[in-house]
Formats: sequence, C-alpha cells, structure tokens
Amino acid sequence: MNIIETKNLTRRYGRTEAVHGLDLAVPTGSVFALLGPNGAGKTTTLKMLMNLLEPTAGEARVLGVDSRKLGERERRLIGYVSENQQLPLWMTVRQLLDYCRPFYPTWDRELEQTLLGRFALPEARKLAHLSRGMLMKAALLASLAYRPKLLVLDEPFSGLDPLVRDEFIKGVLEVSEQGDWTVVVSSHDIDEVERLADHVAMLEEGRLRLSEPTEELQARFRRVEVALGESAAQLDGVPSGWLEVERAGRNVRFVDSQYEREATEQACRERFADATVTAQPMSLREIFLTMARVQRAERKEAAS
Amino acid sequence: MNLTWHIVKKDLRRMAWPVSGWLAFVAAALVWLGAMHMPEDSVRAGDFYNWINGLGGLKTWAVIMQVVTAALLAAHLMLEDATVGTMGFWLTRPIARGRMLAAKLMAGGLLLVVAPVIALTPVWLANGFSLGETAMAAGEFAAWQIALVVLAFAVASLTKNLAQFFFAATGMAVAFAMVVSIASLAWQLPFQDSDLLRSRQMLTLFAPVPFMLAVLGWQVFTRRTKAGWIAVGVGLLALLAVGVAWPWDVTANWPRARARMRATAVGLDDLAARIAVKKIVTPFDRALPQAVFVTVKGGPIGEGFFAPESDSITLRLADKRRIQLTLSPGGLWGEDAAMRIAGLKRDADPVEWGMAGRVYGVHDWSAMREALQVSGMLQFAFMHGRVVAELPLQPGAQARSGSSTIRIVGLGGSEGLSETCVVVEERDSVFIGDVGQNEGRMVRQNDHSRRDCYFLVNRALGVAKCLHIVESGSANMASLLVSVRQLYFSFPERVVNGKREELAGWREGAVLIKVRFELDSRTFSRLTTERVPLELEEEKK
Repeated sequence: MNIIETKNLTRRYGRTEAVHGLDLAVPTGSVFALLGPNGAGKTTTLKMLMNLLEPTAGEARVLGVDSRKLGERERRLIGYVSENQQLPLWMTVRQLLDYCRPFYPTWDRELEQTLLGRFALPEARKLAHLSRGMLMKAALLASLAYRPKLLVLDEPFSGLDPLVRDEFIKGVLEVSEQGDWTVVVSSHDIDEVERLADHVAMLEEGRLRLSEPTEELQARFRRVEVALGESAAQLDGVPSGWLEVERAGRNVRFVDSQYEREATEQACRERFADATVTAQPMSLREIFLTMARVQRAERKEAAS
Repeated sequence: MNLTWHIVKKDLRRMAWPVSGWLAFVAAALVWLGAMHMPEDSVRAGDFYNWINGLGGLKTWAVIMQVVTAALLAAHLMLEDATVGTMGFWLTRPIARGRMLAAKLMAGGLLLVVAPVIALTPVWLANGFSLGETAMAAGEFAAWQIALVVLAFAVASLTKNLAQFFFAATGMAVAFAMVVSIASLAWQLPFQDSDLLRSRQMLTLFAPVPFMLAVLGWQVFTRRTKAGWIAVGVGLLALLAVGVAWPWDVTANWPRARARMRATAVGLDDLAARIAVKKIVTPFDRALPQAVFVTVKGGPIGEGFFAPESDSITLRLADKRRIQLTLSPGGLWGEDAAMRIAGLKRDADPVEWGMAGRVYGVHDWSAMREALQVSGMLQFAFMHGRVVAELPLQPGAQARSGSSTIRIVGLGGSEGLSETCVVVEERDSVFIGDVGQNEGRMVRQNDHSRRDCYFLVNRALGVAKCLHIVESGSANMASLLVSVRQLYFSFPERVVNGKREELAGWREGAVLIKVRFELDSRTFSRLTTERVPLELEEEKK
C-alpha cells in the first residue's frame, strides 16, 4: 500500500524541465528519503505533492487523493516542514501552537508538551527572535503534535548545527516509531538521511535514478577490490553493473551495483584468474557519489 | 465558522496596533477639520481664500494619507497569508481557500470598515449630525472603505509582498486614471443620450470593484497569478470599451419610477409650461445659436416645491427636421420660494422657473418660428425648504441647526462701493450626491440635491435683500463639510435730492436668514405641445 504515488509527474518552468516524468511510490509507514544534488528537483516534487505547485503533466496521488484536490480533510493528516517556509514570525511559540491546534482534531497536547520539553523551545519567545535551528524545531513541533499520517520534510537539516540536527532527527524518529507514520524527507545531506531512511529515491536533473529500500540498495552496492595474481587483467566487456572500473598496479577496483557475493566472485574469476576478491559495504553517501559521477560521465560521453 | 473566526482573530491580533494607529489618525483628522475656525481678521486682511484653500489642501493630504495607509493595511492583512508563491504557511495547513477568503473579508471588514465607522461616530455626533445623517455618513464611509479594501485585497492577492503591492497598486491607479481620461474624452462629445452617458460613467467608475472582487476570488481559489494579471489587463481594456461604447442604459429601471409615482400623487400635473424661442444676435450679426426657453410654473405643494432639472426635449420643425436639445435650469429659482418660506412674501402666484437650451446649426430662423411640436421629458426635483438659520448681521454671530452651522466671520467689500458682502463660514453634513463631479471640493449648486438661499432682512424697515452666493472654497472629509461663502448684496438705498444713498440704520436690526432646500424625490413630466405658439424675441449680445 502506497501513501504517495506519482505517474509521469512533470513540471516545467518555461523551457526548463525541473521534474521529468517521475514515477514514484512511497510505501505507507516508510521513512522515505528523496536524495539528490541541489537543483535535482526534490523541492519541486514535494511542492507538487503538497499542491503548492501544479504539475505541468502527469499526476500525483497523496493519501489516495489527486494532489490538486487536497482538501482540509487530507491536510489534517499531513505535516509539512520546509527550510524556506514562511512562518508567522510575529507569533510566539505558544501563539503558533495555539493558532495551529484548532485546525487538527487529533492534536495531542501531551505530545505537544513532551516535544516542547525535548526541543527546549521557549514558549514566550517570538519566532522572529528564534535561531534558525529553534525555528525549524518549532515548525516541526507544529507539524508533529497532531500525529500526521504523512510527514513531509523538505531539506530540514539545512543550516542546522550538528546538535540541533541530532535533536531534530531523534524527534522525528521517536515520533515516527510511535505509530504508523510515513515520513518523506528530501535532503542532500546523505549522512543524516542514512540514519533515518528505510527507503531511498535518488533524483538527478529532474529524473528518478533509483528508488528502493535502503537495505536492498546497500546490499546490492559493494566496493570491490580484486587483487590480481600473475594473470593479465581483462577490463573490456565487464558487466554493466560494474561502475568506475579502474586498475591500480596489480589491483582492479570497481563498484558493483548488482552485488551478489557468489555471482560477483564468479564474474571476477572468469576475467581475472587466480585473483583475490574483497567486497566492502558502501555508505549511502558513497553510493550517491558513485552514481552521480557515473551519470556525469555518461552525459559527457553522450554530449561528445 | 469557528475555524474561520479563529483565523479572523489571528488577523485582528496581528493588525491591532497598526490599525489602532490608523484609526487614531482618521478620527483625529475629522476632529481637526471640525475644530478649525477661520479667524475674523482673515476677512479684514482679505485672505479667507488662502485660509479655506489651505484647509482644503491639508484635508486633501489627510485623505490621501488615510487612503494610502488603509490600502497598505489591507494589503498587509492579505499578505499575512499570501496567495502568491509556494512558501505560505497557511497553504500547507488544513485551511480551505474559501475559508481563508471569508476570513480575510471578515477581518478586513471589521478592521477597516466597522472599526473606523465606530471611531468616527462620536465625531459625527459631536458635529451635530442627526442619527439619520450619522447613519448616512457611516454608510457612505463604509461603502468607500469596502471598495478600497476589495481593490487592495485583489491587488495584494496578486503580489508577493508590500513592496510589490505598492508598485502594482500605483501602476494600476495610473492605468485606471488613463482609462477614465480617455473615456472622458468620449463623454464630452456633443449630442449624447444623457442616460446612456450616465450609465457609461457609472460603470467605468464603479465596475472595477465587483470585477476586482471576482479577481480576488479567482486568485485565492486558483492561485494562478499570471492569469490573474492578464484578467486585470483585459479588464482595464474592457473598462475603456465600456466607458466609450456601452450601449444600454442600466439606470432605466432605477428608483426614478417610484419617485414619479410619488410626485404625480402630489400634483405635478398642475404645472404649466410656456415655451419661448429667443434669437441671439452677436455684434457681427452672425447666424447664431438660438435659445429655447421653457418656463415652468407651479405653486408650492405643502412645504415643498418642484424645481426643474436638466433634461432633453425634441423640437420638431415645420420642415420635419427634429432637433434634440438639452435644457438646463437657469436663474436663481429658489429665491421666490425661499422668501415665501421665510415669511417675507405672501402672494399666491405660482413660483416660476426657467430652463434654457441652445440650438446649434439652425440658420433658418423662419423654421424655428414655424416649430410644430415640442416634446420630451422634463426632470423635476421635489424640494423641501426650511429656515435653518437666522442670525444678527454681526461678525461672530453664529447659528446652529443640527449639523448645519453658520458663523458670520466678517463683512467684506470696499468702501464707497454699492455692493459689499458677508463672509460666512459654514459646517454641514455632505454626502456623495451633494458633491459635483467636476467641481472638486465645491458643493454642486445646480443639481438641486441641496440648495441654500440667503436674505438680509430688516423687518422694522421692511427691507429684504436676496444675497448672491460666491463660493470661496470648501473642505470636506468623511461627510463633514467646512465651507466659506461670500454673500454679496447691495445696500438698501433711498433717493435724497436726486441722489441715491444708503438707507440709514438698516444694518442695526438686520438679520441674515438662510433657507435650505433639500431633495425629497426626483420625478419626470412629459411635455408635449402641438403647434406651440413660439414667442420670438431678439437679444443683442
């Protein structure tokens, strides 16, 4: 069951295509990370999901409803926090919470108090006088206290110091573990997302490069090092899943994007007789960077 | 509704201080206008023009400040929950667009319509406005504010912030002024149907409000800003087309019908009309515009009088040509009626009014002589008259009747001249219908919605002089009018040894009487004649 589904979702700004034919599915209950470099189309995608922007083509369904028809009923089930969101800065933290509360029948005052304490937010201080980190925490609190079914976080970690990030992530994780919540978080800060996400999608230049559970992704990506014996290295015709293949002295290194221990070792032995194969797991950051480099090289090649 | 009110309360809290400041300014400005009095020495120094015009200038700035700040406040209110852009807080909250629009209109109405009316009510009452006048002033002020709030909301809904709003609003104001200027060129063309012209003017001036309300709704519901701006541009062009070529009279079925019934009931049919054609000859004896005079007679009906207003008639000539001409009231029709009201004249002759129109381009004078038929509709205003002030002819003398106050500031005029004047400062309630379109701050005198007549009377000597009014200037704000008038008169004279000299002692015991006519209703009377015996006169000019 997917809480978000998009079909050929496209958004153009004049001649620039910010998002191109996106087919995305966010499983209910997942913590779904939308990764990509700046300008990849993450924020545009989330804005289309939230009906802040209208798609040029295609459609998105959120909570089973066309995103263009999200009404009060659906929005009561959605929380949205964005780095650029305009908050009513003239309000105090208390006034913000008092203003938001009546819109949500499911508002949990106990949770509100717990999070206020956890985030150490000064209730009487105006939002305008809060630091950026505090402001993001206040926005998060105003989006968590009603236990939304879907929490959308757009670049929530930008500009936050490590301590605040940690508090922020802990807050999200803690609350999301308490119920059947779905969290969609867009970020280019892969290290932080890695702690959160159980599903990952990667966007580049408005196109979806991959979308799968984090565990599966990390399981199929390995940095492989082949220590060659006396035999010569045959680097032509390597499997398409081998990325960034390079030779350094008596070693061949590559990233296997379709790693399966036996199959990879078998493939290595077929090319490099008496070789020793070692495979290292990769972090999301390494996977992301590898894919980004490969895609850049492919584009360069296609252009030339 | 609870959630809508919840949003309204948020906006009220947000705008409380800025709106309080604005309200204080609005109320203070009206208090200031009501408290200003012309110093007596300004008459001696002859600079009462400067005083009243200075007051008018300051008042204009005060009104501009009020309007601009009110527009900025309205925009600020709208931009608190902006519809342009994708980062608005409310856009991601469970707030339906219709709910937000309703909340904004309610908050705008409470802060910028209801609150100022409440703030101004004590000031109106302190200036002697009756409850009815206060209600009218409140209604009129509220109507202007509603228009302002709607226009400001609509422009703000298409902009991202106050700076953008300021430039957009300025640009639109300039564009609207250009549309009106271009349309007004067409309005000045001769031989136009006056009803149609009035429809075009009204639509051009007032249609932008409902149109912009529609734009506001469109923008809040769709947030398609570019389309909204295109609609505004198309709307301005459409407005120009309406101003120049709107083909239907939208006022055709307006309350005139009721007024007609009422007027007929009180006996307008008793009026008699006499029609005369006058040939005017210039020093060069050129073929000239010829004047048609329609004289209407009618006695007082109860405490009211019928006064003629402009309208058009058709003159059918012997050679079957038809000439359409507009008649305007001429002369000081009210004097006779006013003297009766003041008890200064008691004869029972009908009151007589003259109306005149000019025929252009008819060089064949004999054709005019042979006019077969005059037909058309004459418009009348049924006016009630009453004495509103009687005060001794002394500087500083003051009389008050409701919201109408008159004070003699001084007596002007040069020594040795047979004519002099009384300079009076007046305060009145004034409403939109009382202010002429083309005369700026001056109260229009020829539309009969309100007409004042003044007399100098010395009952002991049996002297009654009607005064000629010259408007020195006026300043009006929020239905309060301060005006200065010069009331010219010639000295009562007697002939001694063949010489004319001022009647001794006439000033002592002289009183100034002010009679005011106020509009009760308007009505129409069909005027049709067969082979009217035209009276031919020649007048050398």
